[in-house]
Amino acid sequence: MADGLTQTFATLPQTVDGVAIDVTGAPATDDAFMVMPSRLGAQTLQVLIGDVDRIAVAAPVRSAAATSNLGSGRISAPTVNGPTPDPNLTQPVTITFTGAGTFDVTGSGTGNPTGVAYTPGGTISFNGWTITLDGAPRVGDAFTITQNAPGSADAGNMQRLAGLQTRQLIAGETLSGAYGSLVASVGNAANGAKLEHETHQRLVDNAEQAHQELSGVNLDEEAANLLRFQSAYQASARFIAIASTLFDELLNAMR
Amino acid sequence: MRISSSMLHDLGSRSIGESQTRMFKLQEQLSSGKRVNRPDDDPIAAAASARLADSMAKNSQFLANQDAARNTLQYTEQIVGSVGDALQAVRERLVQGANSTLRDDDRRAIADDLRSAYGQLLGLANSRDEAGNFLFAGSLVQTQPFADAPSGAIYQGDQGRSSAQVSASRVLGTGENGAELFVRVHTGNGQFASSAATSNTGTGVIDQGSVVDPAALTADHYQIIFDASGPSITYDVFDTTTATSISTGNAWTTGQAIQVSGMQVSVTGTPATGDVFELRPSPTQSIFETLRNAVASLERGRSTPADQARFDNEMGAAIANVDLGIERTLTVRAGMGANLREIEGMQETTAALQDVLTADLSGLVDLDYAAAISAFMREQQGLEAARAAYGRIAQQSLFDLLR
Repeated sequence: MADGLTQTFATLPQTVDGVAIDVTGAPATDDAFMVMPSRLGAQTLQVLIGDVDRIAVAAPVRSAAATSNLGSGRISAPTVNGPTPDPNLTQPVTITFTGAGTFDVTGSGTGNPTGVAYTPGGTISFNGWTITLDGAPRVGDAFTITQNAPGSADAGNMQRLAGLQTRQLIAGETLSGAYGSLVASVGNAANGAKLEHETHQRLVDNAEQAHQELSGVNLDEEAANLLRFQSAYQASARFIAIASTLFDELLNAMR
Repeated sequence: MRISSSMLHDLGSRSIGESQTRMFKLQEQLSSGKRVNRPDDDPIAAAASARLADSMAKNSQFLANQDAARNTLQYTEQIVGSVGDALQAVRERLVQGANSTLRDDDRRAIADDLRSAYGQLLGLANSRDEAGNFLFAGSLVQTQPFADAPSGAIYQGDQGRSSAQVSASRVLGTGENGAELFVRVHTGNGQFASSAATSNTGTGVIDQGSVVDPAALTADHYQIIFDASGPSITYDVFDTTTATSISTGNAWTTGQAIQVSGMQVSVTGTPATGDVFELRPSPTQSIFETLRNAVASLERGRSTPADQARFDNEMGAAIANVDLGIERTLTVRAGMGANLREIEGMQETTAALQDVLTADLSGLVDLDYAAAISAFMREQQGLEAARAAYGRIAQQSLFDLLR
């Protein structure tokens, strides 16, 4: 209905604009169903987690440098690549340096590449996460990426979530920017409607005025008419009275 | 133009109604103090004010984050400073203990001191913040980071670093994990570590050495093996990683510089045949292990010159390790200080920005009271006039004359 398109299907189920539609039973001719998929969308939003401890604030994976590392290599906290999480995201992965400039990667889902060239400060991505490795690791130095532990104070997820407020998510605008635009468009529409209302009110007033000009009653006018007609009536009555008197005089004279 | 009587009444009530509507609007503005109360009052200003309000909300959250980050940093920096002070005290005691003129019971007293310093450091390492979370456990703030063990406290946290989003584009570290501060401390001179084999029978004491040619450094372990069987003492250099001999029969005099692939050390005293000194890339060792080892060294008896040499070697290594531990606390403190300064600068700019945003928002939607009040008075006068006029007009009628 919103886009005014009509699609005709011979069979069900069908998917229209991402909504799967199916009908059970035997509908008769001219039976109609109205589907409003997003009507209760906001109404059914609710908070399911009341316990703050259950909020997944931490990133799903964490990184660590082996304590026996000899070099100065530093590993950053991993960030999860979006949008779909990799099935091997939380698999333990070890990056072991085989030379000052090369490393091996071991762990499910990485394909266990060997002799990968190392760029200080460069990013390394496997299994749907990305880390930055910097400094000068030495041969035998190891870095691990593992599933994060419960009870972690790591706020990786929350920081990414908070980062959404500066991301241009809706038509090149941030969430609040889009809200601002929505406010502007609603305001414009409301303002337009208000002006339209005023204009039409004036038109109605004018028409009514014109109508009243022709068919309306002006009490003063009517009173004046009344007076005029009263005067005429009185004058006529007077004329009749005088005529009557004249007749009387004439008849008396003849007696 | 002909005026019908009902037009007169309509006009009267309409003009009064319109005037009342305008007064209602003004009254709403006057009571809320805002020029724009609904988006349709001024769509552009309403949209801009929605964006500004959002910026202000974010900004005030950043201000709160900056405050929290600053408090955490100040508190943590204080603790790290105490750790540095404790290590400095430990170093002084070690230097005192290494003095060869001390009697054994003096050394035992120093060892006792070091034990209490160990306890103090362990307490500092297990510090909690005001919320009861451990400061140095990385992200596992509910886990006690250090558990005492015979070989020196074991780290149980992870390597997460606490951080705070202090501006839209800046996430600032607000702490350091215990692994970085206490555990992953390199030994020796930071590049390589020298040590004497415990089986040495001579009185050779090796220093911590230095790197003379960084390009020649390898990751291999080396042994310097002395031979005192000949007329003069010589040494061999052996690469234990590749199991190859580097050089043999090198002439040696006490205190002479020995260079092995970019590393330079010197051995003083009189090594015996078969005495071995090892050079290897600096491993990491926790401060707690270093302290435990130092206490053990101080309490071990020294009956022979070889024991004394072993003690000297171990104390030399312990002092070097503690030096690196102090250096680590200084580095961490310097980083925290830099972050603190950054936050303080940021707080000023964020507060200033907040003022600007407040002024902007006020300019957009706030009411000009003088203008609004005068408009209200004008409207009130107009309304009174309209009422009076309507009253008069409604009263007048020719019919009055007909009575």
